[in-house]
Amino acid sequence: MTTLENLKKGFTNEMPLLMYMLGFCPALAVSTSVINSIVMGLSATFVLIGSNVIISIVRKIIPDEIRLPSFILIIATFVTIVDLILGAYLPDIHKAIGLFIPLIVVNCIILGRAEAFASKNNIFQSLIDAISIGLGFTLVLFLIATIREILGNGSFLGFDIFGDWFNNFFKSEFKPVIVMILPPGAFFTMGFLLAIINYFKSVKNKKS
Amino acid sequence: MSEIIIIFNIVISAIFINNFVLSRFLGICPFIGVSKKIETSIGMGFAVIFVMSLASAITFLIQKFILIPYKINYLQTISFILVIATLVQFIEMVIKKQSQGLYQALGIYLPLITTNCAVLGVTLLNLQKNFNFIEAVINGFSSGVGFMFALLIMAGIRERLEYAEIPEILKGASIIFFTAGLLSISFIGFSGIVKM
Amino acid sequence: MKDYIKLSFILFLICFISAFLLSFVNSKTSPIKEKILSDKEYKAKKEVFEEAEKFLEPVKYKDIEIYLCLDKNEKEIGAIIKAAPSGFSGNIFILFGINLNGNITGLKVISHTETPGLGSKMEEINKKKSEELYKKNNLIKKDKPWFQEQFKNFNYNDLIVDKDGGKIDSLTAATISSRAVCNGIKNAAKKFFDWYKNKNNMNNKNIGDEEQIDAQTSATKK
Repeated sequence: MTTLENLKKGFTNEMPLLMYMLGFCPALAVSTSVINSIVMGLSATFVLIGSNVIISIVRKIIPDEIRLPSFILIIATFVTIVDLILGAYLPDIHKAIGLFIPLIVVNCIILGRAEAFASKNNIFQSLIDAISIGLGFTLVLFLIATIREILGNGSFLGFDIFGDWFNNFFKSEFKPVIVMILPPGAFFTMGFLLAIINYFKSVKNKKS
Repeated sequence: MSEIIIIFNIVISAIFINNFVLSRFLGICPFIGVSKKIETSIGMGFAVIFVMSLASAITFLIQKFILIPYKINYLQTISFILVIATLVQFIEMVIKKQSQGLYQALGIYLPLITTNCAVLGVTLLNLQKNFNFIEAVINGFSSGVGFMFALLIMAGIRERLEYAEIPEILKGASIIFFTAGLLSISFIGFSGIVKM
Repeated sequence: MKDYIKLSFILFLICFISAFLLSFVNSKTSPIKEKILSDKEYKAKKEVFEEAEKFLEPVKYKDIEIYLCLDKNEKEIGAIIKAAPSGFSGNIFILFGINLNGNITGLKVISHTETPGLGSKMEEINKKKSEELYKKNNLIKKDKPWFQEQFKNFNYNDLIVDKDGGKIDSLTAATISSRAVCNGIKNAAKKFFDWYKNKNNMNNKNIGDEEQIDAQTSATKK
């Protein structure tokens, strides 16, 4: 595929979570707030870029038998680097999503890309692949978190958005839909987004 | 609080109140992928319980006797995941020798236990909650049971859903997530039984 | 056999490079993390003793921990004390500041296991109640828990709940918890001043007689 197709695929037909059905664990857990989701998405993107590039570089040297352990080691190294950096420079967010940063290691997306793409393609294409899938992942995370934070907490990026204008217009205070912030809300939001994707798919099928 | 009560709290909490799948979001990938049939769910469930218990034990010892004394805590992620990968590899060899049937049935899902967030997750949670050795292993075991429990319920529902008429727009993963959401709500009903 | 050696070697090499890289990143980030932690602790101590600029290492005395406080001219102006008096159902862990006149400069309830809903009103923020108390004591911060804020400027000997004829507003239906906090502070403060007097007597004695000083210091620091 061309470089442009490679770059676009994370946002279209290989969009993580919605098309490429992997990587749910952190997505559902940190998506209670938009800020946390953005940080998580970008951290995963950083790890993905690092691991894809390195694995692509050493792909001819690593014997087939120890492919998986080597990949896991390389990915774990980058994850630890992200963990240490976040702990030092963004301590509050690190405390909030703390448990899920080491879990990026077992995020199926990263191992999946290493196995399916980086181990078979050159460095530049692997880099583009990482950027595409990583940013696509961040975008979906952002979507889920936006829905959950606005409906479940009445805020966006930490700022309350249903303030006085809401009270004056609707003559009552905004009561957040608490279930959206709780675990079921994550499942429902995913189900809802997947339904929308199904709709677009069926429209596309009808056209062709 | 006597130790027995603490252990009881851990078990109830891991299975019902803070269920790994429905409440902590750990182990969702296999939850979506494996829960199609009840038999595979049972096999996967037992394998996961075994790995989680052993991993809890070994990682606890590594943390206590190697990482903390030598102040190399930053190697935690790497060492833990290596332990888990090795355990899974070992179990795969054992199952292959002992029971060809089970090995065939589990197929690709066995090596996938390595990337199951629940396994790495429980080892990290044990440390976060400052459990001692026994509490850590019991937490590993109970969390695995909770995982299998959620998996079985989902498998049962999915086998029934095969015969239902699902609207076009909800087919596939969409309906599964809505089902999981409803399950999750029902599990919230368990909270408040014990204080954890 | 040669295969295994090659495989092991490559894995070992990856591990080695990884460990090297990580220890490098760790050495750069852990001083930053330590500073963040100590800044947080400093801020918490300043909250209960605003005038203090420097806090010395804690001293364990009987069942309390004493952090001597110095102002910006390195003069001793009081202490922050950690105590855990027994409440209605378990210990109430408190941190309070006290100056050398015996007046409380701030109180923070760190943790407790009192009856949920009753004793836990210790942490409640009630703007109205804070406004009322503010009229009597303008040191009260209205966005902090009123029960804890009201202790500011009280002398430790005057800590009596209103139900016992004193001026400390007790928590509704949780007189025992309120009393426990008052008495806890009073007893801890008494111990502090005992320790402080002895410490100063030590410093005033002859420096030549070191053995005697050591023996007496270890006796009081039990």
